[in-house]
This record gives sequence, C-alpha cells and structure tokens, in this order.
Amino acid sequence: MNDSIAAVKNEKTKDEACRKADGEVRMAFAEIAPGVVSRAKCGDEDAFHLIFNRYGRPVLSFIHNFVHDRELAEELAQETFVRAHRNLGGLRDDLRLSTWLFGIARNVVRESARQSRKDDMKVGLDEPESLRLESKGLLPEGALLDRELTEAIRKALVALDDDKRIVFSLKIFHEKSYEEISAITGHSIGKLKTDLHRARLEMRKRIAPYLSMGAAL
Amino acid sequence: MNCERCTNELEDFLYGELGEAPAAEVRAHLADCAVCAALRDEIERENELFGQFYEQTSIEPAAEMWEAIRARISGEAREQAQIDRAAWSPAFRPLDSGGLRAGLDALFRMARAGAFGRLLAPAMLRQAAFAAILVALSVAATTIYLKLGEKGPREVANDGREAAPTQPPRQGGTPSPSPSIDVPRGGGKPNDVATTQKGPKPPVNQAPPPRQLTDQELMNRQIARAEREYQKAIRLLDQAIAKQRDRLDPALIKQYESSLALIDDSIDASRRAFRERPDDPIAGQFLLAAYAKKLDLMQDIAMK
Repeated sequence: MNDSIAAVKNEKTKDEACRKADGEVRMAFAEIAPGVVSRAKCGDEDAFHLIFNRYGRPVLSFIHNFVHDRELAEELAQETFVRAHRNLGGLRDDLRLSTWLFGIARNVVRESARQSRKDDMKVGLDEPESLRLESKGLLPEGALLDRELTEAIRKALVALDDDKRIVFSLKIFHEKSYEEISAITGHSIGKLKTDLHRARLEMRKRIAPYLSMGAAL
Repeated sequence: MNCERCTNELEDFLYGELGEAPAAEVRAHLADCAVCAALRDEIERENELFGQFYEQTSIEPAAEMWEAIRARISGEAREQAQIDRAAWSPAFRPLDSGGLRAGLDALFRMARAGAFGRLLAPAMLRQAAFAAILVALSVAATTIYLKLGEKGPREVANDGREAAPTQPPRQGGTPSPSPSIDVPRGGGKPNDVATTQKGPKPPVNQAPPPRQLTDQELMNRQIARAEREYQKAIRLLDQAIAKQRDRLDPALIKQYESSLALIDDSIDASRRAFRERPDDPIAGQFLLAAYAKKLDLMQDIAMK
C-alpha cells in the first residue's frame, strides 16, 4: 500500500518536472538547454532528437577518429546514443551532457576494439576512404595540396597512441577543457597535458613536410 | 618570465586554460620575444589547419541513423513494458522473488545487447548476467515444479481419476513433484508467510529411489545451490565493476559501497537466521532475496 502511494507521488513529481521542462524546450537551438535534457529524461522523443541533432556529428566524428571506418563509426555512434537514452536518468548534471556523451562514446569504442580483436581497425592506410571516394580527374593545385595535407594529418592522427589521440581529438577538434577531458577519460590533468604536448610534437613532425610545401607555394 | 616558462605555458595560454595572472605574463613575454612569438604563430597555424581538417573530415550523421536509434529506443521501451507486465502479472506474482525479477531483467538486457552483434557487453558481464539468469530460472523452475506438484495431484484427484505417475527425484537435486515450499509474494518480501503443505503422495509405479528426499532437504538443497550461483554471479560482477571503477563517478561509488555494506549485513543476518532455523523456509527466502538485491545493485553499477 505504502509502495503504491510512493509510486503515485513519484509519478506526480515526474509529471510536474516534465511540464516545467516543456516550457524550456523551445530555448534549445544552438546549444542544448537544460530543459531539453529534463524532457528527454521524461521520455520525450523529440527532446532526445534535439540532443542527437546537436551532438550527433561531434560524437560520430570523434568515434570515426578512432575506428576510421564510417559504417562501424555509425554503428558505434548509434550504440552511444541508445546507451545515452537508456541511462539518461543517471546524468546528474544536465549541463555536462556533451562530456557524458563523449565518455559513453569512448567506452563504446573501447568495447568494440576489445570485441573485434583485429588490428585492421587502425585504418587501411594503403587505400584511404577519402582517396577512394574522390574523382580521379585532375584537381586544382590548391585542392591537391589540401588533400595531401588532410591525408598527412589523418595518418599522423592514426599514428598517435590511444591516450594521445583521445586528448588531442577532444582538445583540438572538440575544444573540451582539461577538466572535461579528465572526466571523460579518467586521466589526471597532468597526464593529459603531457600527452597533449607530446601529441602535438608528433603531429608537427609528421605534417612538417607538407607545411613547408605549402609555404614554398 | 623567461622563454622556457613561456614555451611550457604557451599551449595552455592558447587554449584559454591559464589563469589571469600567468596569462598576462605570457602575453607580456610574447610582446617582447620574437622567438616565442614565432612559436605561438606556428601553434596557431597548426590549430587552424587542424580545425580545417576537422571541418573537412567530420561526418554528418545520415538521416537513417536517427531512424535506427529511434527504432531501437522504442523497442527497448516496449521490452521494459513487457518486463514490468511480466513481473507483476497475476501469473508471475505468486512466483515473484528478487531472483526471478533480477533474472528477467538480466534476460531482457542481454537480449537487447545480443541484438547488436559485436556491441555485446564485456564477456565477464555476459557470464555474470547468464549466471543470474540461471539462478533465477533454477529457483523459478523449482518453485513452479513444486507448486505444480502441489496442485497437480489434488486437481487430478478432484476429477476423480487416478493421479499420474511421477518420476522419483534424481541425484543432484532435481526437483521432486512432491509439494513443498511456497515462495513469498511481492518481490520476495519476508513479511509474507510461506507455507509448507503436505498433501497425499501420489502413487508411484516405478522402483522407489534409494532415499526419498524430504521437502525440507530438497528446499535446503535448492537454497544452497541458489546461494552458490548467486555468489558466483556476484564474483563475476565484482570483477567487472573493479575494471571500470576508475571511470565511475566517485559519489556513485560511495553510494554503491554504502548500499552494498547494508545488503551484505542483511545477507549475513539472513544466513545466520537460516542456519539457526534450517527448517524455516522464510529464513531461506530472506537469504535469497538479499542476494537478489545485491545482484540487482551490482548489475546496475556494472551496466553504467
């Protein structure tokens, strides 16, 4: 009996929170307003769709930096969002949604890597996807250089070890703070700084020849 | 500020991660030092290139991706509704126990994970969930079998026909159809009274077993077996949690440990009570309910 009363009370509180969040959902455009997360927690599919629209691309790209296979990256991003939806109730601070999502994405990638036990996740360097998809026709000089530089950066990124790559990706591409990266990876800020600095030096060394080509032109 | 310190702090300065005072020092040094200013320009140029690289190579999710996610989360919502219905439906209520609910939950979670091929939970977690399912099914199957054994002959007798012959209990504790324990209702709550009914034994037309287990012995065997299985599942889950402990929220870990301590106390107390009163079926059910609770909690943490 008491359980039933408590359940009714909980439902009532949840409904009130959902109604309150309803007014805030319209605020969400460029960034995700806390109300959107609250609504998604209440099971509002449209609110969760907003979250996906806002973070789908960064999360997918982040995963792609590790698996270098678009199909697999999409599969893992899908899994990331499904897990996020499943565990949304456990997100304590709605403002840390993106950090939380990247954390889930990281775990999904790690589990996938463990599961596959294959080294071929580390990209087909011989025939990169970007080259396969491009036209065989002649490209303007600038575009060719861009393509080579892009490829050089991609290869340099792949050559980084996982710790360096994750901090580099989150800091440089996704502009996360050390504190956020620490929350995502579980590494200390001191380690993150060291890894990031070393990652930059390695990247610099690998792309230097392409930068001098650009300077010469 | 000298060049060495400036070089050390330059990246953090450019990321906006330096405090006001050190940032002002770096800014002042850069204004006076051409070498450090050149390094700053180089890092800024690299960052610009990396930014362009990200813009060119980042992937926009295909429209189908949202549809796939939506389909999956809708499917999970339906599964959860099924679990809730199954757990509280009149058919299951008499058999409801913490172990059964934990097992059903684990079963649906595993089914969900299994639907996505290589995205299965880690092997250890799978083993633990599987062990939990086995425990739940074992306890549930025993209970169902015992209940059928309790009702079956009586119902048959009511029809005025001779009771069907039954198999003797086999080695290893295979459940006997003879009447036995009744599982507490409402999630294994100990307040509910479990009853032991002893109806007339159905006639047996086969050779009698070397020794017929009493209801009491059978119940004790089942409880001991369930306890072993729970302990096995708990060990596996414990290992899985230990592996991911560093990435869990410290506040959550604290809460988890505190809850775990309470449940462990409850398990100890229940075990003591069961040993003191081995003929009391409620004491055994207390113990299993406490294990089921622990398993539930650990599964929740391991799935985080």
